[in-house]
Amino acid sequence: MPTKIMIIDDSAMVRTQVSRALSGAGFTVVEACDGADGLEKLVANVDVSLVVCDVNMPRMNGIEFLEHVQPGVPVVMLTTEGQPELIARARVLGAKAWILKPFKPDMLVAAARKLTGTT
Amino acid sequence: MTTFARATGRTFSIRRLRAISLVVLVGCLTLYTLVMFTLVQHLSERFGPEVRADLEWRALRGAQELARTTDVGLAVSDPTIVTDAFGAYATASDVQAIVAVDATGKLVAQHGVMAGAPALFAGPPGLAATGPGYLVSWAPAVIEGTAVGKVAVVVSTRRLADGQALLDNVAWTTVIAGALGLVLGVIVILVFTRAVALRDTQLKDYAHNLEAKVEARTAELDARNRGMQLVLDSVAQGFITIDLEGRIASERSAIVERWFGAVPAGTRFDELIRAHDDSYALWFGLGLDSLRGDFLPLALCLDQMPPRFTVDERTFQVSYSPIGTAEPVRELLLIVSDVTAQVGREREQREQRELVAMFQRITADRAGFEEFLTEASALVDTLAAPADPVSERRAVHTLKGNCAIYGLETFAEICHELESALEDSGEPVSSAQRQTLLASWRGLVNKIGKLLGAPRREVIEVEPPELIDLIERTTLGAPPREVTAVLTSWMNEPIVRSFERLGNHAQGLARRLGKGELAIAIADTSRVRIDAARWAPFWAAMVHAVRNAVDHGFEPSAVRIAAGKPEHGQLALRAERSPGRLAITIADDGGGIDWAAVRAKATRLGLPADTQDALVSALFADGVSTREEATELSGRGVGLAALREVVVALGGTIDVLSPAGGGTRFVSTFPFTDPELLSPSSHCATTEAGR
Repeated sequence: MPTKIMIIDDSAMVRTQVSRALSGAGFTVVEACDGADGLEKLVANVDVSLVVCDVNMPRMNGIEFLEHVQPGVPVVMLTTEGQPELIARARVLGAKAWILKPFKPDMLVAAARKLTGTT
Repeated sequence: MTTFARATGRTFSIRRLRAISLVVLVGCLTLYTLVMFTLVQHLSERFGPEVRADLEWRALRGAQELARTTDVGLAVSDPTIVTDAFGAYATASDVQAIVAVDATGKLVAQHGVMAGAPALFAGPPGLAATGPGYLVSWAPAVIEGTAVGKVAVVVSTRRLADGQALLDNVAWTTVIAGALGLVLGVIVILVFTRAVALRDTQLKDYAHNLEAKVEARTAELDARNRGMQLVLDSVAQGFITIDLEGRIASERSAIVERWFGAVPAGTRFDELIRAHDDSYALWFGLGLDSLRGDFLPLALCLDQMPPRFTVDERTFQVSYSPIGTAEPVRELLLIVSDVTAQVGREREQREQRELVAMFQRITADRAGFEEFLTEASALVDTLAAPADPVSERRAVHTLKGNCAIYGLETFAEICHELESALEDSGEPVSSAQRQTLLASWRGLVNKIGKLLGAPRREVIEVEPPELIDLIERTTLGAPPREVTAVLTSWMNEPIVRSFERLGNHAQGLARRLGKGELAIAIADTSRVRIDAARWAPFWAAMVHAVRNAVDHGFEPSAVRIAAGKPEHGQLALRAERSPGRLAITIADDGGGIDWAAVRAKATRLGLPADTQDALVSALFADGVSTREEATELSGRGVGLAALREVVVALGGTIDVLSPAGGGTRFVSTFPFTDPELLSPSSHCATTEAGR
């Protein structure tokens, strides 16, 4: 059974990039366009092993998502170089790690494998 | 000398141990021997007299008793009776012999061997006489007052001699044993202490060798350390070892303290830099946090560590390497390089390139460049004081685009970074950002001023056909008002000049983006000249439409060929005049606008998106871009809003036509009634790809 990962980002291009990289590595990917969408889709996808989440999003941003998400699902933040304070806040709220955009697909896959314990 | 260390810390030598052991041994054995010898002597002294008294008593008592029991037998001289009467004495162990004689002295009976029997009775009766190896006592046998004979009992003194000899043996044995013990003890002590001394000497040798080796090794390491420290003190790079808390180890190159001041023990690297570059310190802390967490691959964590920081206007570059191969990593080696000079050189080279580009621009189109400068300075002036954040963002965006057109890459980048910062923070332009922008612009204008030199001579450019046309009209009797209008229009600039500038910009942009050559078609059928100053904002805003077309309008060559389009992108710039109106069109044959993306973005921003008109309105709204990632060129959804604003300010309208895959056409239509702007002939030029 493939490991399931959720990507939350308001950019369809980023979602596509993440999905393409992770699907190519054998993961199943669930896409959500913002934090609220992510929370809704997590209800139907309880077997999600990792959430990759953007920081700046409309409706519900990555920080608000962390405040609402059930503890236990590891979350990795996707961010740009201009937001160290937000990442520090995300870490306090339980985010496992952060990955800078633009990311290298192979690095993203390696990170997903390490965080989900898959090979 | 070897010494033994005790827990108490006292030490004593082998020689002293040997002396003490010998004294104790001799003392103990001498005491033992004396005690034993004295004891045996004492026993011996008591034993002899006691045994002798006992033997004398037995001889005396035996003689008296046997004199009574043998009296009848002696009276009748019957040996049998007498022998029988000897009784138990005959078998007693100490009794050597019993001799019984009658009254005449004749031997009647004898038990045991005893020569010279008569001599036994030589002494007085009742006393014990001593002979060789025996004691003898005799008593007379008497019946009713008449002596009938004598009985002598001889008791052996062998028991006395044996006991005495035994005691003597014990005494001497004790002495000998003591002496032997002494000798053996001394030998054992000497052998033991010698073995210990030998071992001690060996240990001492080992210790000495070890110390020598340690000293040699330490000296070698010291030399290496000195060499290494010399290297570290001499290198121009900062080598710093830190743990995952960021604490700096004591081993580091001397230049680190020269750069950043004293580094007290336990100082964290981010603390050292924080006062100078807070952003770096924050990312550095987050990077270490990532390494400590060990959730991400090591290579990714290191890749995400911040690469540069600034301290007092000096730029430093940092590379990070794990120490050791084990994961999770425990320590990092930071190699810090002062790249200020390199950055400065790069900046100078870039400025040089920019100056060359500007010079070329000025040479090719001085008027256009001066217009750009005037327009850009006006935009910078609007940013000099706080204003509405949306207007500020538009001004920065337009400034960025225009500067990029005229080759002012550095300033365009400053604008891009400012735009990104404004977008990330959602805040208006800060005072510091304002000052940075203004200072950069002032510096730039200063350089440009040197390039421009003296103000240009005011020259009116007139194409020969225009002049011929006017001559013909005048010759044919054109009214003075019309001639004046034409002459007045010559104060203005033909639209084609602006088209040429935009075309050049598009071509340069396409090359920068690796999109190859473009085919640029310029067509001016309007034959009008326009007031350059009044229209400058419009041409400045048209840059956004050009950039949109080039940056994300034209597809890659392979996609275009597959779609049956020419390999190179086609960009058309047209000016057309109809009664009362002037239409300026920019059209590309790219992939067209992604209306679905516009709809999604509009919905997200809460704008109407249910009709095509609503989508067109949304396209021109602030913040709507189909581009997902903003680049230095486009994607923030600001440009088209700025274009519409300028068009509206000029009293015009703007429309867009973009069927899927069929390219995009922006048509700006302006009210136009003044025949004075008539140009004598249409202008049509086409720049072919690769020309």
